[in-house]
Amino acid sequence: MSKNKQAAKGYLPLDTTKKLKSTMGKHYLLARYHKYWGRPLNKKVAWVTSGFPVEILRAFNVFPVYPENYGAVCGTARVSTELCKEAESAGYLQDLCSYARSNIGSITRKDLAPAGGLPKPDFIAICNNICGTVLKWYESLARIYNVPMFIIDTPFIVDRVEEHHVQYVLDQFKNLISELEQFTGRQFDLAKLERIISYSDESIKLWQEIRSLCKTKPSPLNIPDMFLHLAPIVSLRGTAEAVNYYKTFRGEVLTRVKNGVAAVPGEKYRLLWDNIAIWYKLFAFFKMFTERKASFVVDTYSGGWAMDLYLGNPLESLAETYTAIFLNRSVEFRAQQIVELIGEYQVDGFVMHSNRSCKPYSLVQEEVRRIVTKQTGIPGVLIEADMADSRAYSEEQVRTRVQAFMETLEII
Amino acid sequence: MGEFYLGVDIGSLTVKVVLINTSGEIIGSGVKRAGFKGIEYATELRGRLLDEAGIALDQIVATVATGYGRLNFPADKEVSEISCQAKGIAHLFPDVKTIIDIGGQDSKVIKLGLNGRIIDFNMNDKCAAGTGRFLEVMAHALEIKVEEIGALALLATEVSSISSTCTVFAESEVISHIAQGSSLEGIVAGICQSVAERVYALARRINPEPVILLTGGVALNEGVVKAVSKKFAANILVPPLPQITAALGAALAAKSISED
Amino acid sequence: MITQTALNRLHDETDHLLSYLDLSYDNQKTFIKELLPFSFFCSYWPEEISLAAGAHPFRVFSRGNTYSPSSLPAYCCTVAKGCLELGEKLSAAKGEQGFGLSGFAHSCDTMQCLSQIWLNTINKNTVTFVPPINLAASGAADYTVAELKKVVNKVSELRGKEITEEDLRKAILTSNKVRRLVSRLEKLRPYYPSGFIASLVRVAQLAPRPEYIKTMDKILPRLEDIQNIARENKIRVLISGAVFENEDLHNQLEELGARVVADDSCSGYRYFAELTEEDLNPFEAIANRLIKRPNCPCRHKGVAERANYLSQLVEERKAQGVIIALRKFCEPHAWDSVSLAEKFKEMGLPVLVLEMEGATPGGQERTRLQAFLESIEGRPDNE
Repeated sequence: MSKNKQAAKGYLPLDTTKKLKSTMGKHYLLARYHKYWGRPLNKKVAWVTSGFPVEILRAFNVFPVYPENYGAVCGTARVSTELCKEAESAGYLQDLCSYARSNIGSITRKDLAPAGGLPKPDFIAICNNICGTVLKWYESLARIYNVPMFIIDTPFIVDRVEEHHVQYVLDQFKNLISELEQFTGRQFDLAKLERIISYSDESIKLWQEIRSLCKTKPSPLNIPDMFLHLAPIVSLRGTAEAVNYYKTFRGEVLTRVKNGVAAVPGEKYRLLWDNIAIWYKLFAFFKMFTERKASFVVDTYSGGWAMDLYLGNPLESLAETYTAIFLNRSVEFRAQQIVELIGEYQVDGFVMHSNRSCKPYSLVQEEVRRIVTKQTGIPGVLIEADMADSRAYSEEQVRTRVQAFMETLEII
Repeated sequence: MGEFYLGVDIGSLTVKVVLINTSGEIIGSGVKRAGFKGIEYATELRGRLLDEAGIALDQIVATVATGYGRLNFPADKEVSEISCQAKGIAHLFPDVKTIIDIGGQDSKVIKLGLNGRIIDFNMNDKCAAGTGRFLEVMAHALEIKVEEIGALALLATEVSSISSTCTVFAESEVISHIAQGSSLEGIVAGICQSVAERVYALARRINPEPVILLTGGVALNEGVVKAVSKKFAANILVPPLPQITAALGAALAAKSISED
Repeated sequence: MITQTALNRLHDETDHLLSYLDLSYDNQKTFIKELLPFSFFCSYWPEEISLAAGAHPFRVFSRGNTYSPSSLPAYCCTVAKGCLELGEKLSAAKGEQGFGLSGFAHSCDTMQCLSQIWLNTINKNTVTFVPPINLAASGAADYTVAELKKVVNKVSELRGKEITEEDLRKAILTSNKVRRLVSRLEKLRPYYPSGFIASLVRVAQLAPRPEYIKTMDKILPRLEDIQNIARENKIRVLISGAVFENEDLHNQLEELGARVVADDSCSGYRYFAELTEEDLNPFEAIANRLIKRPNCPCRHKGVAERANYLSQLVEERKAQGVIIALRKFCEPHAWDSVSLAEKFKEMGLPVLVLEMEGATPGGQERTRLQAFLESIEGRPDNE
């Protein structure tokens, strides 16, 4: 690996990144040219939220694309802010989710949109297990494109998943299946669904294993790696391709562990990250930490795709898994999750990105921080920014906060 | 003994007074920096205009007040500065379709239909970005006078962009530009560009159409005029006395209420 | 035209009732001491459950201005921040026992977070009811019934006394009485000052229900005797938005020459719309009503539902303009404002999307409202 790359990033680059580029490049290329074969192959395009049980859609040969992942792509390509402005001029206020604004802006600004924008959807599919915003965002999309909107409503879990939650989600699955049968003209194939679920299961297990390997001291990965290499498990969930991809990725990480290679050479501090990445500053932001030999060894965000699939019949398993996602859970649950990670990964401190775009993730962070610090004695800091809209990022203020936080760790 | 109408615009930074006759011609106008003494200064300005024109107070048939201080000024009616601005501009320039008004603490865009009727308007949110106040804060950070911004911006060979919309964040961005050794002219041009982007964002929501006119105190700043013209990719008309157009509208409103 | 004396007399009679609008800390403390309070937040909280528990349901309306609690970031709406401010003060006054029970109905992301912070820091006797977001979903009714049963069990547990179906039936009768009274009041909007009607609607969410019923039973027939009222020549507007914690916007509009003829806010008529069926199983009846009533932006009944409902309301009430009053950082209403504004513009109706930080319009908002009303007056069809 070139020294230049490492200098720009501030830590050890991964070989698998090349494969990431080709895998995701292929996905977006397929998306771009879908219009040429979608109709002859009767393969519908769906715009899907990141927490939707996509396995069911794939069982109907649907080609899913993810506006949220695309939002991250726009953020990393640093075009989000311009796309957001486009949406704002159409009346969408600046305080709305920046993934949503980027996505809506990309519909009319094809010239700016990476990969020429997402292919026009035949339908859209939303599950509210990650936030309530997706409902409003997708309602707007349904109006813009005048296409059907399928909703899976997963009730917020106050304490634990109960029978009536699962039953409700199952009822909706059954209805979704019959609607998809009509809409796609295909018969529901349970065996196919099981096959897809087993691919999901396999990639989840690989993803879990890769995350666990970061318990090693020094950690083989720094968290920006997880953010980037998350793309396939979101966008290609339920495919053999995703499984292959994560086998390769695991191979490289295992080699690092075997040879005692650290992502951040001379790792001195081990940190935990909470919330979505700051995409437009991905490396520049984390460089402030790597410069001080601090490695982010674990996070809550990429853990959202590391949830075990529940056992049992395929639909029930999906119903339970997708309802129990951590963003759909109580403060107590979220705090305990961080407390456990701190223990398992031997974490010295945690950084919470107070993300203007993501209210369900961010508005309880101060409370979560209070509980976690009380239980573990580990310090945490909140840094206000936004995942995609760079106008909400203030270089100087962030730098001062990070510096002050690292200084407290250095004293301890 | 003639009859006259008075328009008083009490803004956040300045007060403006315009006196017109029954044909709608401007007999006199005045501008004064006000601060919190708006009403007092407006009364003072009125006295001066009357003296200069040799008119008695009771020859003023009606007075309309507009601007932030409009509620407390003794007038026959108070009318919002948006309607007044529309009236004033339509009177001076009947072809104008889009008004951009950048004042001390507000920026507004107004779309006009036939006979100066307001079709739509938009206003900045509770935030100083894209206003005269924003320019003042930035001038202060650069230790220059706000009046110097226009001329300096025109000398810039390159523009140091400001990305933050928040005035406080933008100020720290300006300071880090200084620390990085960017040219003063370039930074100033960046500040003007930021104002232009902000009003452009406001304007796009009402779908601006030519002829576009820029008014309000900030229209005196050539740097902002240039940046706005570039951002809108259009020629921007500026009235000869951009500060008084809303007060003129108020005077015209006074005329129309007494004709009703 | 209704005389000032007549209006004053009405005010005298509603005085005690309207004293429940007083959000001053002392006032709240007094009535919290006298009644077992059941504080609630969202219009989807089924107040029948609070009544059946023998408690007094009162909706938490904050002062509606800026307050910055340490546990919420700057980009959170003033509705949530204000509720937390009030909660902090009241729980500090009552000490460890907290103050009665609290009920959240899961709605937007922000209220979801507030419910969690409230449970952890303000009142451990907090129950959260999670209604479906997709009211048209298959299984939504069954799920709601099951969820209601769970909530009733939880409340029974906290009260240490079982809530029976009979308790619920009685509560339904009371709530329906209030709803009928408010529906009658709603029809009077064109005839009385906007703030007056709005405060009588809002206080129905605060006052002890029996007192509300008693007072309004007496006053309403006189208010309805509108033969002597000359219709004032005001600009008729519909306002839509989240919560209005006070009547400042209504009063401001009135002062500028407008009349609120329809109030589609979460604290307005939507809370009272539709009755709970009285001879059905109470759980099913409550669930049916929640699904049937006009939905808020946090819930879904189809992408055109709210636009259709509101345009129907515009036509019924002959509104000349629509004001969409957005609370800064309120996402659900901000999302809807785009398509609603489009829809009204298509109908040829002037629309103002007004963003407000709190519940009270300031100088800048006044300017916008005034310019908007001036532009309606200036329309050729109004000249």
